[in-house]
This record gives sequence, structure tokens and C-alpha cells, in this order.
Amino acid sequence: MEDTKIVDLYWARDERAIRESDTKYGRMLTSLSYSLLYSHEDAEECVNDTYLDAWGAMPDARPTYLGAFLSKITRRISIDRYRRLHSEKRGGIDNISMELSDIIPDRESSDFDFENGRLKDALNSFLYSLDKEKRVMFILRYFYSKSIGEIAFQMGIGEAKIKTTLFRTRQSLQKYLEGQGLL
Amino acid sequence: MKNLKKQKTEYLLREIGELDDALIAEAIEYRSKRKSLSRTWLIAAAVTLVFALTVGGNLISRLNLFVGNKGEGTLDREEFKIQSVEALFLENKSQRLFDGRLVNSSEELPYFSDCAHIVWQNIGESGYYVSQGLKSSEIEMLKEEMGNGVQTGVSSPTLNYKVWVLYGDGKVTSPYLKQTDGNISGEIFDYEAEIIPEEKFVQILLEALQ
Repeated sequence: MEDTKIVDLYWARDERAIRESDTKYGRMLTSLSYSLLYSHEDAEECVNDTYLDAWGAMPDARPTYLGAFLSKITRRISIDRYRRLHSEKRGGIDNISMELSDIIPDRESSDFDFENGRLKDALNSFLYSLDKEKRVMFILRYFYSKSIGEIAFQMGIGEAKIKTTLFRTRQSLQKYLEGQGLL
Repeated sequence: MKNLKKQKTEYLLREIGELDDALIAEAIEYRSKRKSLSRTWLIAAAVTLVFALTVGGNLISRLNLFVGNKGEGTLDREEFKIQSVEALFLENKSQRLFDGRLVNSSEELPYFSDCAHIVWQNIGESGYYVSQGLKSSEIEMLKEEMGNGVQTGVSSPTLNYKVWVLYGDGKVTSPYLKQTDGNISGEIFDYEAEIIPEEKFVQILLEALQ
């Protein structure tokens, strides 16, 4: 079923919206949550919570890309769950956090803009300035928390190139954010 | 300082979760362009090959019908019955019609994934080849044809390849089996072929794998 039709079901408060969302995106969302939490049970719960959140968000929200809309909810819920449980098990979040910490300089600085959405706008601008391949690679790694191997397979590119490209993209992002006065 | 860096990293991690929907959707839909190159002529060549093998095989079988009186709907010439899917993977071995990622053990297979995958194993080798993820339209078309095929009869043919479908939700089955509850598992399993998939299934499979 097309995204617009599923969104119409949410707006009509028709419970088929949840079923159709699960049919179309359930596997993707479960995979996303699992890659962050490394737990099938927790991932399943996060996906169920995603549908509840989506039900509450619509009407009001009318997303054009339902998959992206649901993915963002799942990701947020999964990260919150991981932090809340203070799990000692290493999740996918720790792996990508370690890489993202490269972007943050070690020096003491209070210039980081924690409020008003400037960082989000800067991230969007930065990513739109990249070529598609680099952009997709970044999002698959840091939004979807896919492993290097999974990204290499999906994109048909060698793992060494993925690692190098991500490293350079992180460096470029650091320079960009510093230039914007955000770091 | 370390705490501040950790806080900033956490904030960055969460802000990445608020990127534009269009960026996230683009990544979902991204498929390697390299796999799409020469798609048209590869499909044409492969379909021609499959057609020649199946139609040619059918003609041979009609000349050697029902030896041993196995009844309608079963075939007697095992070696040609298994040509269609078998021929596909045999041809792929030499012609690289499609790619597969090699994993060493069944534990590495993507049982829970955002899409379905085809898995195949060359009998005699220990590893498994995993296809790229299938689109939902492709898996739906394959599902419609799964379970359709000619029954193998009393003795199952010897296969050079074992093939499975991983639906991505933990369920696993094989196109060589009737689609009953007992033939759906939560992991890769050994089996004896109950049916031989039909030509239509093979054509859909080839398109999905490329």
C-alpha cells in the first residue's frame, strides 16, 4: 500500500494503518532497532511503541515519506531505551557513538549549540552538499546503525572504501560544524 | 571535559535522528547502480537460457513419460527435472549473473532483516551465499509462485544446490518444498525436494536476484 494511503488510514483513525505500516515497514524498523539494541525482544517492543507514537502523532503530522517518519521514531525510542536500561551489553549505539565522538574536538568549549535546532539545520545542509553515495553511506551508518559489511553489500562497494569514506566525511563534517560556529 | 565531549556526542547522535525525511528515504531506497548495469541484456540472455532449458527439457520428458507408472503430475527423468533452478545457479557460477555475499556459517545469515533474501549453498561446500535484499514487490511475486511446481514423486532428485528464502521476519522456507506450516522454520534447515519450481518462479527469481 502506498504511503499516502496508509497515512490516510492514520488520519481516519482506522486501525488498519498499524497493520499496513507493519506489513510495509515492520522488518526495516525491527532491523533498525536491533542494530542499536542487539536484542530481539527489545527491538520488537520498540517497534510496537513506534506504532503507538505514530498513532498519536497523526493527525497533525502528515509525513510524505512514512518509512523515514517511522524510522526516526523507532531510532529515538531505541536510543532512549538503551540509555534508560543502562545495559552493560555493548549495543550498536556505542559503536556509532565512538565514531561520532571523532567529530567533537577535545578542547574545552562552550560554543556547542544545544538548543534552537541549528545543529539539525547544519547537518541537513552538510549532507545535501555531499554527493549521493557519501550521503547515503553516512545515513546508513549513523542513522540506521548498519555495519560496514552491510553497507558494503547494499551499496556494492568494498569495505575498505566505506571505512575511508566515512572517516573523511566525519572530518569534513567537523570542519563544517566548526565553520558554522557549532563546535 | 570528557563529560562535555560525551554530552556533545550524545546530542549529535540524537540530532542525526532528526534529519530531513527525504534524506532518510533516499538511503532506504538506495541500491547499488553497479548491480543495475546491463540489466536488460542480462535478463534477456538469462531468460532465453532458462526458456531453452525448460522447454527443451519438457520436450525430452514427453518422449520418456511415466516409466515405472508414477502417475500424472510426476516426472521420471530426475536429471532434467531439476534443471530450472539448478541451471540458474550453475550458470551463475560461470557467468556471474548476480552476486551473493558469502558467509561461513548459518548463524551469520540475516534472519531478521528489513527485507527478504535468497540464500543458496553449493552442496559439498560449507558456506552460504546471500543475495541482496529483495524488494517487497519481488518477494510478493515469488510468494505467489512458491509451492507451485511438479511433485518429485517417491524419490527426491539429487540437488547440486540447496536454496532457501529468508523472509526477514525470522521465517525460512525453500522453493523446493510445499508451503505448509511444517516446511517453515526459524533457521536454515536441510530438506529433500518435494516439488520442482516452475519456470515462472525461476524467471521471477532471476529478476529479483539481479
